[in-house]
Amino acid sequence: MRQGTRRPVEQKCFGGLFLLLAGLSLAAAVWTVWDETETRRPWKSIRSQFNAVAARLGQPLVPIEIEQVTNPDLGIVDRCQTCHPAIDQAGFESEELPLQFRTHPRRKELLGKNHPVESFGCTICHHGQGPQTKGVGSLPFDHGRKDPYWERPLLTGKLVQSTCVQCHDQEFEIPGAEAFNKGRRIFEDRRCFGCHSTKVFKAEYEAGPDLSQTREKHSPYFLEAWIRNPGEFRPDTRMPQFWPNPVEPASGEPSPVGSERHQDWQKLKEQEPRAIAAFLGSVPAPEPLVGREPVGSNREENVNAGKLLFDTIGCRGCHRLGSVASDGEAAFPEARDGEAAFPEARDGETAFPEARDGETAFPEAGDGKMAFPEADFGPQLDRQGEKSTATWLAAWLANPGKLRPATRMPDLRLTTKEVDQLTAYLVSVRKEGEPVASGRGWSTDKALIEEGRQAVLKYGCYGCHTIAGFEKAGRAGPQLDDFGSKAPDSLEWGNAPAPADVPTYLGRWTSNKLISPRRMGRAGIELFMPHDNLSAEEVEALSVLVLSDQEGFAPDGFRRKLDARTRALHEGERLVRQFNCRGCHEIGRDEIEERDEDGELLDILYVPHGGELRRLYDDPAMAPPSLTFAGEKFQYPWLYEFLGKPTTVRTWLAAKMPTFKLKPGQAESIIEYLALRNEQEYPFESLEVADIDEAHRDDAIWLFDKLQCLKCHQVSTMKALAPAERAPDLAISWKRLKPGWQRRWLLVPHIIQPGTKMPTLFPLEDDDVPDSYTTPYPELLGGTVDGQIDALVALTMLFGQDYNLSLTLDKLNEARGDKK
Amino acid sequence: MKPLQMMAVAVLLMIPVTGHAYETIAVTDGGKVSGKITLKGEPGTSSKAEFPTDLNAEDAHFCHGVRPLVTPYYIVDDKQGLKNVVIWLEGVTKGKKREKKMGSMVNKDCRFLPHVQTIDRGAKVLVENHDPILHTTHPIFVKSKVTAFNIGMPRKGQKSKKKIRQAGVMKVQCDSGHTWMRSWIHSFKHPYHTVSASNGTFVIDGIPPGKYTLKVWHESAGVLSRAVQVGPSASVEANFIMEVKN
Repeated sequence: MRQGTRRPVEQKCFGGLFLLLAGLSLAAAVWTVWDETETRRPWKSIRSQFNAVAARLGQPLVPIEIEQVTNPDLGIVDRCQTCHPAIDQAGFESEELPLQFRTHPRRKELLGKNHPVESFGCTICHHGQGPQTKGVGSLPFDHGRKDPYWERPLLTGKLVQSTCVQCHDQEFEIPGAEAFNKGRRIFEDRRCFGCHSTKVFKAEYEAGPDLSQTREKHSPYFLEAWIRNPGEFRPDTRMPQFWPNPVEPASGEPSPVGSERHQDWQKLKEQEPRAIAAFLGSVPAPEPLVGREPVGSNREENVNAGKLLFDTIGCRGCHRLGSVASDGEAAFPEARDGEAAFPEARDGETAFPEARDGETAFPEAGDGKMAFPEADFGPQLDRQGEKSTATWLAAWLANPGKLRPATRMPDLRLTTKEVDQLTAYLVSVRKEGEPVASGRGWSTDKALIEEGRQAVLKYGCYGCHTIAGFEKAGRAGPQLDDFGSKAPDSLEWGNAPAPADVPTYLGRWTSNKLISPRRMGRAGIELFMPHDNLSAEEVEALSVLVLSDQEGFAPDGFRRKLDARTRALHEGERLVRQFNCRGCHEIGRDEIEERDEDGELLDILYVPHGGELRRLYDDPAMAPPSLTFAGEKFQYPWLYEFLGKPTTVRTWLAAKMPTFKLKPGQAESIIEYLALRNEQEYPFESLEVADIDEAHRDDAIWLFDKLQCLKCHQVSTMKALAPAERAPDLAISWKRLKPGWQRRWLLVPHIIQPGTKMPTLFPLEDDDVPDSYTTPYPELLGGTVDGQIDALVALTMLFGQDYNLSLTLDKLNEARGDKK
Repeated sequence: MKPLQMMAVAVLLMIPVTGHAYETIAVTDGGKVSGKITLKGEPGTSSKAEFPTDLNAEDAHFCHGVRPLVTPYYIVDDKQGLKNVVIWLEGVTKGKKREKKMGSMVNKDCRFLPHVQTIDRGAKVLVENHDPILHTTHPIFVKSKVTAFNIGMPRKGQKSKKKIRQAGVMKVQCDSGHTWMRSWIHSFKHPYHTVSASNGTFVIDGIPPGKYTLKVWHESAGVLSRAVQVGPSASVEANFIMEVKN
């Protein structure tokens, strides 16, 4: 045995223990250091990495510590900037930088003064869990995307816009929230509100037509085919598809032809529409259609007259019928009147190559072919003759509000003859060989009718349509109230496989639902939401809208309170869209400056907001007038009366202002909106005119006569001298027009009302010399343009009111008569 | 009163646009295109204006006195040389300086004179009334239906210089019940345009060497075009025959 040194037992034990402890300590230290940086404090290395980037860019470095925003009012503790230090700092915009180190892409627009990060933090808009800087349990930190227990996972992309309305709930359109605004528009356009309620959109009209007059409006075979697939008859209809092609629940692939699912679907698609049509045809109208048989619906002259009416009276402001005019004739009126000015006008291209230059400014100038305005406010009316009976059309056109009290279609106050002509035209619009709708031949099969009633209940047709017997059925789809605050794990994915990576993501669920609604059901949960063939962009926008309905609103200090003016502008804009005023009228314009090669200002181009309809008129003076300066132009009481009960000011126009069913307060809102757009006082208005004594008045009458205003205008019973060039009766100016507007009108009429025949009678001496307005009669009224215009305006404000003035004018007329 | 400033208040947005399509360069070896427009067919005879039935007495009296000729759709000399034809090179983007020479539009004897003219975009037109009755001078861009300007002149001797702010073809009309009055202004972004003389001839010069499309327009005969190759300091002849169209 080898003799060795022996250490005492105690010494051996302590040594071993020491080594063990030392080893453990070292391991703990290594683990701690590793853990500190990689798992428990990942932000430390992220901030170091950021500093490396900042140093490279010559930007200030950040300390290696947590950055935190707290705001008890909003209930946030946000540490997001710890890993996104440059989010509110310029200089990190480059797309080559890692995403997390970049400046906020819309920093200037959204952060800063509007939403200072110091008080708003990040999660108020982006959701996610603010205090969290690391993963939980074994899960890595990924903004909760892989973590089913996060109640508010991070919103990304456009879905972030779903939180804007928490503070911006009073605005008609939220600036910068394009996807949200679009979603709200689609929600309205697609009539989602028929079945679903949401607090972020409230409709004020019916979602679909009242079906009370079905018996008299349609033919049974048409109705059945229409219900089965509305898009087949009218591709851009708002009515969705209730029997979409079946898909396999697991794969989402189309079910194979011949499979059990496919056969079931075929059977339902065949049977249910027939039953629903039978049921709807069996429902007697609450009162019989108060109509009369239209006269001469098949007479060609009526059809032609009706077409002319349809094209000119204003129908095309809301409805489309046909896509393109048959040729370019209407664009080039000269080609029509025998002058043969533009033999080439028909192909447009060769005759006016230079006219193209104006295209940027006037996109409607187009290529010489004139497309009808893309009006989609009301239904497209192609093939209307197959859809509606002549009797129903005549009753509808004569008084839409009587047939359907909640309709948006206004009353055009048509004469019986016009009703007959329009009916004749619409009845004639059919596919070749297709018969006119007859309203006869409804089924009396009681079993089928009952089956139809059950199907109406099943598919919730009453959500969009008024159907007798279903008045109290309520909405057909679930409420969307607070949907955006739903706990993600409470969602039912049904047969659709929940994506593995984001099992609970609300946005993903919503888009899946919108793309393929019925896949989200399963045995026991049968779903009947129809298909709407939404594009990817529409799905995204609608998802934003649906998610934006969240519990409560932001606290008062953060919610945007609109001042009275802004609120009035938002409300007015909402109404202008609701009544589709821009279908016929320009309201507002953009201005585009154009300079030539020397930098000289050449022109200011006006890009109109609305009023597309004017393209249809050979003479732009015949189109519905621009309302861009309406607030400056009209006296409020007159406009109020006009909106309630339109009177004809321009008797020669084919276009007609219809009567809208305005609710109390809506006319005032529209007037206030128009006034505020023009920076006018409201509700008070200035009607101040220059004092005009008798001597000056005689001079003003003399000037009025010399300027030959009476060539085109009439004043009460004094007829215009050249009646072909018509202009409004000046005897109503005193109650209709504001003096301030009249003054400006006399100087720049064609800017105020593009296309007007009213000339400038006080032309600039030289367009390059501002304010060099000249008068043709410097010997009158002090010789100044301002003085003469003031006197003319004061004079017109007396017309129609002052008896003596009428006498004077009569004398003037007599004198003129004597000259003959 | 400053109407334009007042207007600005009502406008939502002002976007400046640059990039006018024409660039001025020194043209030292410019070529020339010249030629003659000849009419094929009978030009027909001009007749006196038919007044609308509702024309007021004063105007009827004055205009009757001068009784302007209308329908001079084809004005030719004894060799069928066609007057009032617009000739231009299509879409030239650089070349000699645009002179922006002032045009003229005279209301005289119930007619617009000249009947056809071309002008550089951005140039002015001197509008004058030589008649003692109200005329309005109202040029409208034929394609966009946009009014270039519209001034009423009730008194003899009135004048105003109006700028032509867009390129394109304008038909000038008088909205004062004088439905027979009309004339044409063609406005161009480049200076290579002219109107044929009374013998039908024309010259366009200072053209940078290159290949161009030469176009001609007549209010009744329509449009013709052809390709022309212009060499350095070269003189190219291009004649057109336009046919009478009914």
